[in-house]
Amino acid sequence: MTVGMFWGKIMILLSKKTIGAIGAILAVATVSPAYAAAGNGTASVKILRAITVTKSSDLYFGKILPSASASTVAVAESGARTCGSGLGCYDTATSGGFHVVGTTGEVVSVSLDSATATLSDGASHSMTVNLATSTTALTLTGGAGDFKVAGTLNVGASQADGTYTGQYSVSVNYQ
Amino acid sequence: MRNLAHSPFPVRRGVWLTAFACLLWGAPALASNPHGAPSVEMLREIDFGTLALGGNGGQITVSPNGALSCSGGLQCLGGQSAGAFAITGAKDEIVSIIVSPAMLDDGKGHRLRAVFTPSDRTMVLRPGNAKNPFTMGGTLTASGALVEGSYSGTFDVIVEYQ
Repeated sequence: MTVGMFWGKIMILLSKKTIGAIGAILAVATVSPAYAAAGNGTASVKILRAITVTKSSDLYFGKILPSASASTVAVAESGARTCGSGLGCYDTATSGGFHVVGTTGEVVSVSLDSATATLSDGASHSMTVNLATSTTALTLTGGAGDFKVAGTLNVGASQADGTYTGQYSVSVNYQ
Repeated sequence: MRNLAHSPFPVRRGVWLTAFACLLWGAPALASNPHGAPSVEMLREIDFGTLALGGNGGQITVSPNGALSCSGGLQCLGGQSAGAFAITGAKDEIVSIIVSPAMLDDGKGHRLRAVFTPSDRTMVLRPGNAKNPFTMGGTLTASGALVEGSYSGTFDVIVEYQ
């Protein structure tokens, strides 16, 4: 049986009005197929280069001659040293210095990870340093910037002689 | 009816004429029928905000609800927002939402691949011409060798009646 014959056998049972009704149904079916439409979206991101921080100078208090009483030695960010009462201070002191490299024009925050550091002579003797920096934010003009760290060394009474060293760390982040 | 039974050709001709008439009736209906193609528009772009490179790179993801996460050596610095879109179409229709990936570039030949995640993969459209909103998140994959800069790009959002 061909398709045409099949249609013929079905259609003989239908009146013309019925055929018209089928046509209307088919018409509705014809205008409600699956439709699709496309639109555009946009996405954006700003990428900054990784920050690098390198030490440009040590915080150095110089050579100190202690006294029988405790005192302090302060080194300002400018490198100027204030030698406490009773102490003798020699050699040229330097403040701590750091060089920051990042994306040009960006602002970074600067902070000390700890406000104090401990210096040790490798034996059982130590001194503490109070750290400070006036820089809390830095604009990376030309992709770089620098900041200084000041310190106040607490020298004990009759502090044992020796070479005292210690470490401190800073954090620099994009804002 | 007896004549028809023995004369199938007029009936067949009637069927084809009816089908042809269907096409004629159907064609103009496409233009004015509210069941026409749906449309989709962007209300807000996807902004991954600012991120700082580090290490060997990683991924940054903005969820469809706007939450930000970074993996690997990347540092998310915020400023992100999920994208917002709206579909307009015939009420009660079910639409599927398909989104293409994108290559963002900085205009200097550096590229960054992005894939997107809509808040809804399918949606039942509300009555009338109301805009049916959905949001869009996405994920960027950045290598450690990526160059700093502002990257942007476009992607396709396809909505289709199911």
